[in-house]
Amino acid sequence: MLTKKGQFDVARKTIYWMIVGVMITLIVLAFAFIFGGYKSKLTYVPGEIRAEYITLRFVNNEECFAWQDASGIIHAGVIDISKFTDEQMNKCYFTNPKQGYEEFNFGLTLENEKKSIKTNNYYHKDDYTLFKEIVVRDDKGLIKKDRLIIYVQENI
Amino acid sequence: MNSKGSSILMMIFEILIVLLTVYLITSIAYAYGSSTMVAKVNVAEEIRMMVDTLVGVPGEAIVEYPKNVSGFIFILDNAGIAVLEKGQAKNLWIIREFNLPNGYKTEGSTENEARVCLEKKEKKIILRKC
Repeated sequence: MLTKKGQFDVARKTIYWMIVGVMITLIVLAFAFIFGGYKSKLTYVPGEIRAEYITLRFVNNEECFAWQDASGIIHAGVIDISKFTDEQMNKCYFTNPKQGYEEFNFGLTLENEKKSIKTNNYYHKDDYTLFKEIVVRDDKGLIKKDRLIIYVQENI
Repeated sequence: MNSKGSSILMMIFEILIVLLTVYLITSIAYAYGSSTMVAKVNVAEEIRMMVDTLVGVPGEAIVEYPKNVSGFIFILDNAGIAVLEKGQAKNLWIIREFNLPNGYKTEGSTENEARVCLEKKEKKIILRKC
């Protein structure tokens, strides 16, 4: 049978090892967490860069809003106003109807024309705004200088 | 057991705990250091951005990925790009998705090629060996 001193020693060591166990677990977890954070930093891509590349299509691609003349030549940087519709936007950039809010979505406004369209999961929660100096070709074939304002919603 | 024997046993136990902790921390560091995960994620992100850029380029274009990627396998389809290593389980593949305009297609694959190219031909973007 243990003496009073022996009982005290056993209790003290048990408490000591419980504290040491918790400390060691915390140290190992902190170490893994620090490495995880470091890995995230190494693979981080600023959203603005991706948004800049995605939005190139809006002004340069004929499946989006770029003007394609009768001979088939695509005029990069020239927006055909007749194409500047939500239907055309869905053909140009369409995100998953259920989960697409986690992806990049865009609201587009032609500053002088005062015309706006958006992608299917754009909910006006803008993270930042991009600007593109462009030219607009209207229904009569007239060319006008304008500015395309692109509101970027990275995810919700 | 006398108190001297008890304290020696305790010291051995403490040394074992310290060694175990050092081993755990070193193995975590080694796993991160030797992992190609970071390289795969970066390559996948960059190829996705290259595809987005090619979609935004009028006409035809060809672009070479500017790094040696001989350790990786690439699979490009309409849903996205997958980067993996030979024999790797699917849960370790790095997949990056993208959204293409109507009528656009992406395809192609390479296996352990040092140089890979992305080529845009009309409405098709092809990943191939350079």
